[in-house]
Amino acid sequence: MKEISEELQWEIFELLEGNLSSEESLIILNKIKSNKDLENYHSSLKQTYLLNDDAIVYINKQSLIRKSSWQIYVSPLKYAAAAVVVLCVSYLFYTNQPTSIQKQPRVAKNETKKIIEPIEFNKREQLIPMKLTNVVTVEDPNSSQNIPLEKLSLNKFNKHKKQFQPSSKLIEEYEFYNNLTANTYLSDEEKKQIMLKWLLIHSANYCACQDDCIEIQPTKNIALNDVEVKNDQQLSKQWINEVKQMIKSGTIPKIKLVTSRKKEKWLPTLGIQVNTENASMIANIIE
Amino acid sequence: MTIEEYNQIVYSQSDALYRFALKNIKVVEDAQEIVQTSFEKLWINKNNVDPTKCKAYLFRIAYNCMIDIIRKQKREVDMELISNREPQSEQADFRGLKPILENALSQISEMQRNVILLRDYEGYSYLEIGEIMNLTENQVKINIFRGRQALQKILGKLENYL
Repeated sequence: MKEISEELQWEIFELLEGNLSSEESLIILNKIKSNKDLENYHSSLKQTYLLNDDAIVYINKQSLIRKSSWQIYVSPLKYAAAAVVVLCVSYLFYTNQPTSIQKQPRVAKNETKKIIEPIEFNKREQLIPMKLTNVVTVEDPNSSQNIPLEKLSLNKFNKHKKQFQPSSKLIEEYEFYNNLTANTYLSDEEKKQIMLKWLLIHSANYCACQDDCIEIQPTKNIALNDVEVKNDQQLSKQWINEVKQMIKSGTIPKIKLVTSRKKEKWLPTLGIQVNTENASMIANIIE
Repeated sequence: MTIEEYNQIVYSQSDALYRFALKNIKVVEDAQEIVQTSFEKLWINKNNVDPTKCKAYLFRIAYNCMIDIIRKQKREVDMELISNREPQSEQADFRGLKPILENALSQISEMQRNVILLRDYEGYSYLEIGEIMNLTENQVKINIFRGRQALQKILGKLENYL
């Protein structure tokens, strides 16, 4: 085979590449037909052209596909919603925890008589008696400042006394008691305080319904020894039940807001004295 | 570039890109990785890439990835000292022209092989191939010409051998 000039090689290459016009192509094709060597060169060069291999496909196309922005942002929303739910649950759990009674540095004085308005009978609030939401003002007549004694009572007082429903009270009371005894994490002191507050409120309710009046009398200089102080066990089983029975039967335990001496100092302690027919109890509410 | 445009490109170009990579490096896993990498980079730069030129952009990325892989493979082969291994051409399947040609392709230079693949498989113009491979049109044309001549010689030798 004769060696083909580079110029002719380029011409054949251009022909195969499709870079020539029809006239130019015709001229080259005629040259090829007339020359066996050129024909061989043309055919061998033509063999170097690859045919597209459609059998080869990329099977993981779906892994390359991008989702719409809406779908992309769903996940963060879910996370946010979950976070909100967790926060709400945490908040509710936290607020349902019985806490120690807020310390009250103020000292109640004598000569104050307040009418406790009927309490809105709210089941949830009953179950969360430690949440102090209202104010009983105990004024000190000897003081130029009228300082409220805050957060003695637990629940919101109902402006409309008639909304108090004694018929639902038993159920609520029952549930409250179960709840209280079920909460084993409560210390006895906490139970005691919760019970006392609960009794105070229910007594106030009854009294408000029946007489529109209850007395809470801050009393000076009542020593703890003046009344019988029950221990925790008695408090939770005997004394409390007795008071509760009184409340159920419509008999109002006598409740007094008392102050007492503590460690040779007067009136640093504020307590509640509840008297039943057989016993009397005084417990510190605010220290 | 919108998501829809991007996905459309995936459907229209992933096969060609994969084919281009696979014909070059012959390893399925590497070819798949090149495709993944190319489209990932396209997605990252979707706002900077002209949708009309994204095909060239994809192939340029794939080409660069291939260069990296081939260089890495060369280094590994050099270190392994596989001089006793039989030439790949002798292991090839000669039962048809297509495998012969593909085998011949593996024997020509990397540059020539790539321009021929882009030209034949993807139908790119010299200009487009030049954009992908950072070459001028003339350089592309010359490389194609030289590559075909090299293939021609290899095939001619094989014909004589057979």
